[in-house]
Amino acid sequence: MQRIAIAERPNWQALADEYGFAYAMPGGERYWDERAHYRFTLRQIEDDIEAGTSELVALCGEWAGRAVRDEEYLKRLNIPSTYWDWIAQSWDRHDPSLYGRFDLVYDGKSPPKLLEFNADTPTSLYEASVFQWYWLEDRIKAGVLPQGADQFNSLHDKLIARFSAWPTADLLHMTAFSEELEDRKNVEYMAECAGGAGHQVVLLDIASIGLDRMGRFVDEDNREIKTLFKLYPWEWLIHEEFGAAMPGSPTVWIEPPWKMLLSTKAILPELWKMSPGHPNLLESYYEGDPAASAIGRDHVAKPIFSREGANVEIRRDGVTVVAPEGPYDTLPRIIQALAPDVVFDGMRPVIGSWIIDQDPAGIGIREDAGLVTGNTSCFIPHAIVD
Amino acid sequence: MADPKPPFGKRQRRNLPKPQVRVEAAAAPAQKRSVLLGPVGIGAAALLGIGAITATNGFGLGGTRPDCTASQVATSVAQCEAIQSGPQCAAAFAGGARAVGLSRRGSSGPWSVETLTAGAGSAYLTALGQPFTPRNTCRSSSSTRSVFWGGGWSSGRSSSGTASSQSQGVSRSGFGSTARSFSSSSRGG
Repeated sequence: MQRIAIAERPNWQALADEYGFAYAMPGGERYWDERAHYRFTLRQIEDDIEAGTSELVALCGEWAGRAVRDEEYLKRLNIPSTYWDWIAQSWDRHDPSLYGRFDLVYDGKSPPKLLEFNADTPTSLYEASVFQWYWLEDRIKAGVLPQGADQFNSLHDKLIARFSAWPTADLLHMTAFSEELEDRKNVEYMAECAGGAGHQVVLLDIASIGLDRMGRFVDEDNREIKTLFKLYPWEWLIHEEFGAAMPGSPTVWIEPPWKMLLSTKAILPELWKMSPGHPNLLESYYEGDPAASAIGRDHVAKPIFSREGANVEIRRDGVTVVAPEGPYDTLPRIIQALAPDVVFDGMRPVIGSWIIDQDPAGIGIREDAGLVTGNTSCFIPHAIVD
Repeated sequence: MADPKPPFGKRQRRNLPKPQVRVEAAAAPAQKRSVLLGPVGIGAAALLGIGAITATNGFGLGGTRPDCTASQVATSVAQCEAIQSGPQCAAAFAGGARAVGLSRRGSSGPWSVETLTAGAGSAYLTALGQPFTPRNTCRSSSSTRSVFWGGGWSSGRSSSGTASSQSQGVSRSGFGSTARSFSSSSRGG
């Protein structure tokens, strides 16, 4: 694994505009940055990242099977008991899952370590799936990358294929908090993929969802929402006004309710407890667990629900060195051993390893000079060159 | 108790914990990663049977992009005009249409508008009785003019209420309050 400077395409911003990649340069600051790329060998991709990701899927599946009837865990996630049977039924029915993203730290030599699992509302999908692939094609055509260069990326194809898991006879509704540009664009891209699978998609803002007298969710035209893709976290939905109606409604949810069990950093101590010493895990405990003292004075504290690095606190020798602000400061936290400090050219990459259904499907890399990957961290493309 | 038939993680994980042993001398697989993509890349993979045409993508690299097609259904004048301005949308609905299909080839240019009728299930049919299938084979044509979001962002309708609004027995605004209360945070991870 190397970080290699590379000439950027002179017209990449025009391409971003053309393709609707509207958040490539938010506020004039680079989010997409192709002045460098990460280079892997095929062995690193297949043996370390792909195999490690499959391993994490298996671990998470094993944990979900236990967690679904673990009242202590469900309470820890602040899931009201009125949802427990619904979640269990979703698991028992094998409600299909669409996607997820494991965030890994990897140095090219040692097994990748799990930082967190974005099981419910992962973003940075379009740039990983499409814009990154175009970058590879263009750089090969320009002779900047060798003809045999490749990329760990079958996201687009697998997404389209996976959308066939839901029936196409009815409308597929897709929702998000649409005032948020990145969320909106991610859902629009998902809608393209669903359309490629033959779905007729209706996009609607999360607040536009209606609830009729029969307990059915409906769209703005009062059509029943039979299947709903949501880029909106489960832990928010269940505590909002309409949340109580979800278990009684016939709507099929994407992601399914059982994903609530995994879309939390609370899985980190649970996975560690289930499989201590696993090479793809970092030692983790709930804050306040006396066993956490085993980690020592270098560790990171993470709220069980947080996004984009908000409220993640890193301590070295017991002293807080980084603690980005955010809205999750009142939530319970987990304590995780510090990941190996992987630095390339002064930048710290985090590998987002995507799964579609449960299959590894590609990676997207975000890097930051700081210790926490946040919402200003850049997306850097990658290539496989042997 | 572990679920015997989990929908996730069906594969047996390795017998761990053990130190992971990597076989450095393993023969390199003959097949590279992106097997589904092939040499022409995902653009071609997404063509869905539509012929490739030189694209005006301005790459300046002598390269070509496969062209694409897009089609969408609108069930109101507002939805239709969010995609294609002009008199066609209003005219179609004024003529009694309950839905129209909008189609175009390429990622730019005008949309054509045709009247649709309801078929079986949620399907729509063209005037010739052919199914009209919304699809978008463009890599991303998610410009603001090509995508309609009901409510919230693009419709001009308010979604900012925190109390449910109710009409015709349907309550709304019962979701979204957490996002609104987080003034600048992202919902994605």
